[in-house]
Amino acid sequence: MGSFFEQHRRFILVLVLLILFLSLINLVEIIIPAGILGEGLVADLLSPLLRGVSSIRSSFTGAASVVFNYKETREENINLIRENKKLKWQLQELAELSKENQRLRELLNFEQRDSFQFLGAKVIGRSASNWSEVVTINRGSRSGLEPKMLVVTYNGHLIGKVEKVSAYSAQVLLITDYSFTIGGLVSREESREIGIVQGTADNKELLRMDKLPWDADIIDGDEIITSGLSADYPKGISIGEVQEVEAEDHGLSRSAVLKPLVDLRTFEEVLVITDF
Amino acid sequence: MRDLIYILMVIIALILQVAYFSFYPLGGVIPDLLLIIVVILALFNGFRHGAYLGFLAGLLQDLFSGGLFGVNIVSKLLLGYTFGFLKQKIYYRNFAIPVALVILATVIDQLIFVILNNKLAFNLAVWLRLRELLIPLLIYNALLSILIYPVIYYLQRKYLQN
Repeated sequence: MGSFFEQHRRFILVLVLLILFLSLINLVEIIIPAGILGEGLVADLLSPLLRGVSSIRSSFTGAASVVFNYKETREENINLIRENKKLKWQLQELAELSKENQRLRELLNFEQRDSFQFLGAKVIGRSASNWSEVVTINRGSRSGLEPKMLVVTYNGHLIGKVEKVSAYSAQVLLITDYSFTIGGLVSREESREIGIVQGTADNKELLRMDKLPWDADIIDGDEIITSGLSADYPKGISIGEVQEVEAEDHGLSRSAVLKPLVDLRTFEEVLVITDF
Repeated sequence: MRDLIYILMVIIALILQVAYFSFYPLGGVIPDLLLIIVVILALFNGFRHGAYLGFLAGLLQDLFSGGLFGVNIVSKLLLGYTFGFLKQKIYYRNFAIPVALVILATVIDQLIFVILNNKLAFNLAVWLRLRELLIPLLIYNALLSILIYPVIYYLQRKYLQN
């Protein structure tokens, strides 16, 4: 045993120092601003390659799916044209309503509700590990992205938040990652209970909403939206649907299991909320 | 020059891992190309190269995945170093040996990952998840190493032998 340590003395020393150094980095990450260790540089150097591989992959799968499902694609096309017409008509109706809304707001002197500003981005990479849920997108600080910005799908469901930003790419932490946390709110008018929504380490498809009061008015099927209680995140973006409510801390509080409204494994394009 | 090629191999593995394989999970699991490359290169080049390349691969992997930073650095460095001691001790013509070693390395890598992560290690559900994740991951890694090993074996014998 003694000779084992003797033989690998240098390696063990390096390993111990490395572990100490890394735990120090993880500790002070909160204090030191991100990107100081040059991680953005690596991301920027590699992102053109990621983009290349990614575009080859997506064009290949796109072409393949059209070829193999020709009939379905055609049918889908016809359906989409029909739906498009219907939607255009509805849009006209909504424009009327919006004008009316505007008029009534002015009448009541109501505070204007600003719409968010979005920036579209493409997914060029996914997580390199099975235990984390991260995607890399093709926009970075040059396009105005900053950490903590929320990322949604085209129909406005929350996907995650921007974590690390380099000049031309950014990393988005998905809501299903175990280190993701955000304030949640039950959107039902009579309830409006608040809790903390977190990803879980053991299930990639479900979320957990913790710290609900023991008598919280929350039932299966409730929609959960972002609470907007901190200044960092906008209010009212839908996160998921309650699947199950259970007691926590021996009945002192309750927690709910949520199912995200989007399939987090398949999306290719996202919107980043740059201003709210 | 040789070292440059090894570094390039690790980078290519990362790019393929992040931009290709992670889009097509098998049984809900993505393979660990970087681990495969590190283990195979360590078998051919010894513990010193194994440690350097393991460090590089772990660093890149950590930069492109969320959560605790540095866990992959430690596990890949350790695996590259230890598997490097098998240099000249295994029969390289038998492709089953490196595949079996990749499987062993995958198990160790996953165990190190969970144990070093204080957010995961004390959660029973995580260990159950590890159990169901491990089988498809082992199969996926083994299949890929069957494909990758002959390529590196050929390159090594033809161009990279010292």
